[in-house]
Amino acid sequence: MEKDFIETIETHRGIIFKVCKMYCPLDEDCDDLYQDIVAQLWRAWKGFRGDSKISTWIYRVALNTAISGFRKQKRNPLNQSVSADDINLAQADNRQRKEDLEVLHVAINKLSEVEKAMVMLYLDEVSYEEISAIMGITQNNVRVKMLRIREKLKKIMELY
Amino acid sequence: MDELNELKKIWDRSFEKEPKAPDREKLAELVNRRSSSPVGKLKKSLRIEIGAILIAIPLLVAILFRLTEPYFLFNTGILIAVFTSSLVYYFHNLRRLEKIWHHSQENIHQSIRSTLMLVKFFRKVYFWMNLILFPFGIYFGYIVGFGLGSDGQRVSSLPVFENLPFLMALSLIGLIIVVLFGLFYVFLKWYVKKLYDVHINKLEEIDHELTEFE
Repeated sequence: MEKDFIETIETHRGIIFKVCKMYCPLDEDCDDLYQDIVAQLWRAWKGFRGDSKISTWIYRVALNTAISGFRKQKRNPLNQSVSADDINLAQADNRQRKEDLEVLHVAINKLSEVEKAMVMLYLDEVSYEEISAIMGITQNNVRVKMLRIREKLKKIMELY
Repeated sequence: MDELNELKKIWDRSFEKEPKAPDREKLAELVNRRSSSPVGKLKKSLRIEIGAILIAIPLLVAILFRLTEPYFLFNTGILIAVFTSSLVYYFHNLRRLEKIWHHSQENIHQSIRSTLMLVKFFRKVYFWMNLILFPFGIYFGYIVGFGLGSDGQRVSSLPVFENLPFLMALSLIGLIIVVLFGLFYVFLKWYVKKLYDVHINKLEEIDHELTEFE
């Protein structure tokens, strides 16, 4: 069972990695969250009945862990000037890319926990139907929230 | 959705490279790691309470062998019974918590609601159990221990009470208990608020945000 689990984690590591980066942009916090998500996935693994896609299940467990985990961030990025070295979302190798990452980082940090989850799912091209199932809200609610998020992001990105 | 599309382009570029595959040995270690989720924190609190009671019970048993006056036996016996009941209750709740890993498999809204209910319930348990056990544990021995010994002499662990008229001594003990209960109540309110209310407020905020357009 452990072997199957480890293989699943390896296959879907991208989802866990994205959730971690969405909720903890700094590497040191990210490691803690990553470990917590994997531990939580393992605990829940025995109960996975296969009635949803494995990716949907991983999103659900990972987002639940990130949202209700209340990790204290070692440094609060909102109170700091953002440095592209801190962001480190990927190995930024040129100026334009660093600027992009800075925009992404600032935009993410202005969003609430729920909004972060929804934006992440949207950016990962998860359908509204699946977003609705993962979040436990109606599809109409998903649409309204996405509209509000768009407004919010528009304001944030206009500054850049 | 221009803004989101723009963000999506940045997002996709950011994750062009697949993250490095995690070390298999490290993953195997992680599966046995204890969680730092709110439920994990509740379990930690319960384990601390259980540990404290597990230390207190043998001490009380030791007292039973040292103080053989009948009502010291009676009082200590009651304390042991109360502590043992608390221990059973705490163990029962700890087992309950061990089984709720499935919350994380629910959708976000259900999971937030379940966690919220659970944290609220444990806030009550933690508050009332401590509020009752602390003054009870410390002063019950004195209250009931204060009385008449087998040979008609008053017995108390606090010499000051032995020289006071019975009713006055009893009133004084009563007053001390009320004051201590009051002080402990205020302290516990503050402590529990500090320990749980931040989580509860945050969970309520998320719950509200999720349902505002339902």
